[in-house]
Amino acid sequence: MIDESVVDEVLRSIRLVEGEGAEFVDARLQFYRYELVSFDSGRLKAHSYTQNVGVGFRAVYRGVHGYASTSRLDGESIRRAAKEALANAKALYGAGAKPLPLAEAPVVRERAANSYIVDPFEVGDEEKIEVAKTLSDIALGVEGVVSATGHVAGQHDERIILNSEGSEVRVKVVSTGVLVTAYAKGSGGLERVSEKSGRSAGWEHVRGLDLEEMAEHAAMLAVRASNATAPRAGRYNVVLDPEVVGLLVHEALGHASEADLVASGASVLRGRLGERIGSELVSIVDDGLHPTGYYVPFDDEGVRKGKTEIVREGILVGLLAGRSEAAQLGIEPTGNSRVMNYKSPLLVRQTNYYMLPRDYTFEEILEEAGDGIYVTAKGAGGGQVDPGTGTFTFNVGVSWEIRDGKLVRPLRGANIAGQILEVLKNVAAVGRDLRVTTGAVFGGCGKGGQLVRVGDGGPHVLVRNMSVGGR
Amino acid sequence: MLEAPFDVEKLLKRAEHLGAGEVEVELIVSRRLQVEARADTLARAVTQSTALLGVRATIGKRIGSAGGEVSSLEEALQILEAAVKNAKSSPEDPSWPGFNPKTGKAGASPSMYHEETASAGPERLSNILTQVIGEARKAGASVAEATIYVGESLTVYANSYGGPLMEAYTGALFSLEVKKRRDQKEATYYDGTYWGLLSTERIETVTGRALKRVEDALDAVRIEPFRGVLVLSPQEASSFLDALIVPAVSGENIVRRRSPLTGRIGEKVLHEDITLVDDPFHDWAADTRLFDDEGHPTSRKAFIESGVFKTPLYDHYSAHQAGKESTGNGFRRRPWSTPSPAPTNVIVEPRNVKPSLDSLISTIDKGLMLVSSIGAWLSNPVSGQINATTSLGYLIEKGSIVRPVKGLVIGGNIYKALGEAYHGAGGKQECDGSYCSPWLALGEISYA
Repeated sequence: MIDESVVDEVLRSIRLVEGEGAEFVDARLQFYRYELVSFDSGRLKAHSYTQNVGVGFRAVYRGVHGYASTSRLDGESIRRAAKEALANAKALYGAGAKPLPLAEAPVVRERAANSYIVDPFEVGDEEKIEVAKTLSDIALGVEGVVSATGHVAGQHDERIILNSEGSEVRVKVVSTGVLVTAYAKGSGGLERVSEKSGRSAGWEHVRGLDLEEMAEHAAMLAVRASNATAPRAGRYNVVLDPEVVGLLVHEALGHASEADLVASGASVLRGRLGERIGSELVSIVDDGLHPTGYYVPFDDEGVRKGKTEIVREGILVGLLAGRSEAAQLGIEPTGNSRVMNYKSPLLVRQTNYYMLPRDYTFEEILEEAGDGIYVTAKGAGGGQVDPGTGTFTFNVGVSWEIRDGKLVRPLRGANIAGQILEVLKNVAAVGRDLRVTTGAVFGGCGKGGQLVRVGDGGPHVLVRNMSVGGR
Repeated sequence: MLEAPFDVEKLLKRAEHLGAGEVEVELIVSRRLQVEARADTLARAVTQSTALLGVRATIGKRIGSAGGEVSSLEEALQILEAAVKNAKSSPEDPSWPGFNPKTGKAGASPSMYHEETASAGPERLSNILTQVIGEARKAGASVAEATIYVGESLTVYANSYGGPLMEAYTGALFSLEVKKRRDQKEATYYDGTYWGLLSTERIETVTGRALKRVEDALDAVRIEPFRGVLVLSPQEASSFLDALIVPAVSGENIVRRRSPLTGRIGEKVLHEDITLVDDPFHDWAADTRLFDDEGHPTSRKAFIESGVFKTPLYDHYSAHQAGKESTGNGFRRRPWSTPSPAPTNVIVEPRNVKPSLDSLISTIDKGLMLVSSIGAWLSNPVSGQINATTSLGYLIEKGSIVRPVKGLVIGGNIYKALGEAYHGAGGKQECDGSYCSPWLALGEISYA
């Protein structure tokens, strides 16, 4: 909980630096709690509790931005941080920085919180320990598995965003999740497969999971993959499962559509609004309120985050922007300016980025593929993009060879790569089975040294002529 | 120089009153100044100061941990209480060996704290970035993004058996993405460096390298799949080793049987010309340390020598599991994380190194010289499978560089590529971050 006297002190400090020349000031007060229980092959590896609290200021002086923060919430420390933010802006102005104005945004005074039934911090330790132990033990019990880890975590992230225009936005997000990883040794050597389930929800999410089925499934896939071979490197018709589609749109398009990169010239999408960048089957949105994604009702500038259309039937129609980038590009802020924690400077980030469904069934997509590879996210390691060149890559988990529209044999995970402006044009079929997921309490998206929680997804999709790395 | 906001020994004393059998405390105090530029102009200055505390406490063989940011002894005591509470509710770990009883610093005195770096202000960093922007303009390019930060840290460690141990160190990061247009073509190139002190010479080198390579990137083309040699720049070599070899030599992964090197100590696992050294005493390298995050003295050792796997890197727990002693490699991601084995600085010391990069390339019939990639961290350390995608490379044919290329997906197995198929090394050893390596040539690589 954040003490109201601290909120008052932050507001006074905002006024103080306004009086000393800042034309705009905002502050992010954060109270963050995280609890993790980890089991590693029968051993309790970690039972930890973390708590962080602090406030970060941004002061804008003649259009130039300075940041500073403090974890000490007494009046003197808060005032010092606010003044330091202004001093940083002034120093940069003195060094010749050009102004980066802010786009207008409505003054908002609201509270928002995701709904949850059971607070994860009210659940007894025994139950949490049992969840992590079950995941590890069940996976380890499958023949062929040599090692297994199970994790469960709960998180509170409470933020108050205040600014000199009068906005006061309070957001509380409660999240929970589990993660299991199985390592198996087979004829092809060692292999690992992970499964996770996270949600912006209370402990009821964990209680609703079939942990044994989840752990057993991950373990059996690991065993199967450890006995399979990797695909031969080359170009294939590739069918992607919904989670891999999430990785694809997040890496291949999501980062390049972040307006800070577009404004600085570090994105291949610069100057392409209104252009065709994908096949007519491709429509993509960024949605802060998707029910199975990570809950982002407002960004960290206090701008409301709704659903932002990025691609409509293959045409690039939108970008993700904070107030500064919106002013630079002459567009509206979309509520995508986010920070990892109160200390961090604002960056344009995705929320829940996903491809909209069309009308193919999974079987029709396989038939359309003919020969190729079906890739899934089980065991996937994430992805990366070079937004400037448009080159992206991501790692997929256990895969299947497709022959004559049928899944014929398992393959080990592989690496998939491509170029943004080519791959979305090669989308040849889009399924009807939309699925959006988030790690919620495990992992997230990294940029500029900051990790934020995100979600992504889509339906099953067929992409022709995709590069697959392998043997 | 930074100071701890409270005396950690007070936590040790308080732990006894709370009923803890053993306690371990790590405090990291740090301060950082960052200046960023975008689209050829200074964009913002950010200062951050933090004190991160991690506490582990035991009751018998029950272990609990807690942590967070602290600014006073009162907050630290709350964290201690949370750790003891977690220990009380945790099941016993029958294998628990206790905390490291052999606390102390290594008897070395590497350079790791630079007063001038610690005291650099926003004006100095702004001036450096302004000069970088000027250099880019002279070369007909622009700076899409550039970041420079300087920071200093103080680590304090104590446990029930010894301490407190303290060490202070500095660091400086510079990264930039340059952009260039020619005719109808446009290219970007990202580069960067991290070192223990702010060095304008390193920044000039990186800027010059980026401006040369962005010019080449304008002419980079996609090519058809092939198989051949992969020549890694020292920076790329560090990415591949970090993703594939470092996790495999972790004592924890070996004990848990999730390393391909489990059961292979004393065996030849890489080519006989390759030696990899864990060196905590390298002046100004990113991970130069005199004690690890368990208070154990660090030490210099070859973990792969002449291709033979000599020793895993152990923390206190995994060493106990293996019937060995800690090698001083117990490190944590955060002070409240459970320690795991990790190297300090990795030094690649191959034999028979060609005197220059050109002389190495002259021995290659067909291959790729890789200077920039994405996704190497997605490689699979459990299987040894290499995965990376080329942002910028140069096609090599018949001993010469033919043209710049991009977009190739790189595949292969690290133990084959650096084992029987290893091709050689060339040029001077270059150090950046926590790695030092010459150019390395790996064999039997597929490109798609």
